[in-house]
Amino acid sequence: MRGRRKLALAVLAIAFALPTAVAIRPALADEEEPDESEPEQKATRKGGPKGPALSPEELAKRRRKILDTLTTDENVLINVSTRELPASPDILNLGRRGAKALARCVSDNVDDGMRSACASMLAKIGDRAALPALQGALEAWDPHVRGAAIEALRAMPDPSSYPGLSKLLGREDEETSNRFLAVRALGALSYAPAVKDLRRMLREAPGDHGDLAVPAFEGIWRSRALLSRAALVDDVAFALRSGRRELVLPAAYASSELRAEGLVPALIPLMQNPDVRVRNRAVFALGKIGSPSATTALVAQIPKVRESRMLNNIAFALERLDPRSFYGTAKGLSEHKQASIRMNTAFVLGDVRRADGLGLLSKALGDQNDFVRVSAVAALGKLDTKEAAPIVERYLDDPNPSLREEAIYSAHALSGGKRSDLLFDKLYSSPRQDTKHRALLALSQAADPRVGPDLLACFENRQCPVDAVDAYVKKTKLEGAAGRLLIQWVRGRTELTELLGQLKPPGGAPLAMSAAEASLAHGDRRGTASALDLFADLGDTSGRARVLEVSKSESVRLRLHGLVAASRLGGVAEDAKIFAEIDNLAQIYLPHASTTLGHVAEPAVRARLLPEIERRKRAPDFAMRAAMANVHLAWDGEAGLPRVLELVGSKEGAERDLALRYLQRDRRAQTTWLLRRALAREGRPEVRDLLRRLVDARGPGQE
Amino acid sequence: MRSASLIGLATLAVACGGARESAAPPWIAEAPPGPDEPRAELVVRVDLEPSATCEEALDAILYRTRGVDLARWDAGGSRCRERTLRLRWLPRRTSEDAILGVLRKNTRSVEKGPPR
Repeated sequence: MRGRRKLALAVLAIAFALPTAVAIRPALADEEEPDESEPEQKATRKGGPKGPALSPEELAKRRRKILDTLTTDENVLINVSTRELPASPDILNLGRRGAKALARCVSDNVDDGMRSACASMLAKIGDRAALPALQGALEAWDPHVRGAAIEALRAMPDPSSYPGLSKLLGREDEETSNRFLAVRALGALSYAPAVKDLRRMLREAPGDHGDLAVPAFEGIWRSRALLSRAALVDDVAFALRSGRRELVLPAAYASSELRAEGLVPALIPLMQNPDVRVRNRAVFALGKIGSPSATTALVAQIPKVRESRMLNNIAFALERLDPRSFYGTAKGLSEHKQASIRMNTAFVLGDVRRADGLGLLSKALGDQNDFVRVSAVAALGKLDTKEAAPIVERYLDDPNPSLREEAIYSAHALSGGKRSDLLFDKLYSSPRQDTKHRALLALSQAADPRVGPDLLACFENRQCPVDAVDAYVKKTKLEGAAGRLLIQWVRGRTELTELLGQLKPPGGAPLAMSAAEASLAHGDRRGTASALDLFADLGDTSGRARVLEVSKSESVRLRLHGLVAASRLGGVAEDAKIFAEIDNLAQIYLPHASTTLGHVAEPAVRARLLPEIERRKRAPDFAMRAAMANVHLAWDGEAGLPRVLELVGSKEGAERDLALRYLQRDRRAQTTWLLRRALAREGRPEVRDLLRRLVDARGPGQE
Repeated sequence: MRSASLIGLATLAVACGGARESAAPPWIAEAPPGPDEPRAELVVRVDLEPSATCEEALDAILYRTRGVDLARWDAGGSRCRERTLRLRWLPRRTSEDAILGVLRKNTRSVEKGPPR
C-alpha cells in the first residue's frame, strides 16, 4: 500500500512539475488537509506577476476582496492570476459555496496554473456540480490541467466521467503520467464498462505508454464487488503469475482476503520470491486459504527458510491449519543447530498459546544458549495452562537477570495478573531504569495502588504514554490525579482532553475557557478547538455565549467545534447551524466533523441531533453518508452498526472503503464484539471477507 | 481520533469522494430484536480451550444460537482462562439451560455467576 502511495505521489510530482508547480503551490500548501494554524508564505509565490505590480498590502487586499465575493460571484476567478488567488485553506473554508466559482475558473480562466489549482480544490470540496467543468478540462491543451482534472474526477467517481477518461486514454499523444492517473480514475468509478477496460489493461504488456497493469489491478480490486468471484480469482492469479513485483505484491494481499483455493498454485512459487515482502505475504495468504494443498506446501517450505519472520508466519499458518503437523515441525526446529531458529521456535510456541507446547518449552529451558532459555520462559507465560506455573517458578531467583525478569512476568501472567507483589518486590525496586520502567507499566496495568504517583511523574516527564495513565486513573480513582493532569493539559498536552472530560476536575471549566481564549490569541485554532471540547465536557452552561464568541472564525472546523460545544451546553438554536455547516462542508473535512459530533456525550443532545444524523445517513453524497453513519456508531454501536455494514456491502468501492476505514479506526471493545457478531451472522461472502479482515486486525476485544 | 487518522480518512474521502445516488443494496441487514423484546443477562466464568483466538472462536459458536444477542468479555484473567463472559440473550428464542449447554460443550469449564 505504502509502495503504491509512493508511486502515486511520484506520478503526481511529475504531473505537477515545472512552471505549474510554483504557480499552484499556495493552493496546495498542504496536500492532505490544509493546516490553518500555519499562515501561508505568500511572499514565496513565483507564479510570475501578471498585471500591474502590487505591494504586499495591495495584494492582500485584492485576495481578501476575491475571497469575499467568491461565494456570490461565480465569475470572480476567471481573470485572476495565481498570485492573486486566496490561500487554499481560506477557499476550502467556504466549502461548497465556493465550488461554482472554482468550476468557472477551471472552464474559463486562461492561466493553466489557475485552472490546475482550481481543479485541485474542487477535488477537496467534492461538489459533483463541478463534474461538467472537470470533464471538459480533460481536453485542455495543458497536460497539468488535464492531470489535475483527472485527479478531481477520481475524487468524485461518477460513470459520466467514463467517456472522457476513455477518450483521453485512447490518444496516442497523452502523457504517461496522465495515463497512469486516468487508469486510477477509471478504477475508482465502480462502473462495469470501466472494469472491462481495466481487465484488458491488466493483461497488456508494458509499452511505450508505461506499465498500466498496476493501476489497472488496483482498480479491479477496488471494483471487486462488480466482478464474479471466478473472474476476480482469475485476475488475481494472473497478477500473481505476472513476475512483476509491483503487481505481485498487491495480488498477494488480495489473495489473503479472497481465500480462494484456486490461488494456491500461483502462491506456492512465490514463497521463493526474491522480495521478502512477497514471500511473507504469500505464506500469510496460504495460511488464510487453509486448504490441504496449502498445508503441504507450507510444511515443505520450512527447511528452506532463512529468516525468522518467514518462519513465524509459516508456524502461525500451520498452527491454524494442522496443529499436529505444526508440533511435529516445531520439535524439529527446537533442535535446530542454529540458536536463532531455536529461539524463534520458542517464541512461536508461546504465541500460539496451546498447552501442547509445554514439553518442548520445558526442554528449551535447558538450552545452552541464554537467549533460547529467555525466549522459552517468556513463552511459557503465554501458554494459558496452570501446569506452566511451577516450571517458571524455578527461575524466579535465577542468577541470569534477563531469565529472572521474564520468569517473574510469566508467573504474573500465569496467575491471571495476581502476582503484582512479585513484580513490585523483585523488579520495581531494581536499580536498572529499564527494568523499573517496565515493571511500572505492568503494575499500572494491574492497577497497583503503590505506583500511582510514579506513573503520574512518568507521564509528566513524557516517559509514559497517555493510554497507561488513562486506564490507571479510571480504575484506581487516584487522588489528585485530575488536578495534575489538568496542569499538563494547560501546558499543551491536548491528548488528555478526552480523559479530563471524563474526570471533570474541579475548577476545570474556567481554565478550559481561558485556554481557549489564549490559544485563539496565539492563532492556535487546534488548541482553541480542543479547549472548547473540554469546556463542553465540563458542562458549564453559563459559558455558552462565550463559547460562541471564541469560535467566531473563518475556520469552519473551529466554528463547528464551537457550535457543537454550545449545543451540548443547551444551545438548541445551534443545532440547525451545525447541520448547515456540515451540509456545506468541503468533503475533506467530513471525517473531522464526524469525530467532532461523535464526541457529543449527553443523551438529551444526541436525541435532539439524531433525526438530522439519520437523514444524512441516506444522503446522496457517500462521504456524508459514511461520516454520519460513523457518528451514530460512536453514539450507539448497536443501533449505528447496521447502516455502517450496509455501506461496507456497497457495490461502490469508494463508499465501501470509507466505511471500512471508519470501522478500522474505532478501536472500542464494544465495536469488536459487535463486529464478531456481524461476522458470525453475515450471509454475503464478500462482506464476510471484509469483516474477517477487520476482526483479525483487532485481536481480542479488550480495552 | 488522532489527527493523522483524520488526515487519512480525509484523504480517502477525497480520493474516493463523490456524491452518486446510491443504488439500494440488495442485502437487507438482519433486523435487530425489537426494543420491546425481553432480554436477560447471563454472567459466567469460563476456561476456554487455549489458542490464539479462543475468545473469538467461542463467540462464533454462541452466535449460531439466534437467542444469543451479544457476547461481551471482561478484561482480566489470562487470555483463555478464568474469563468472565457476559451474555445478553433473548428468553423468547432460547433458554439459559440451552446456552449453558453450548458453553459446557465448547469450553473446559463453566461456572455461573459474577467474577469472584
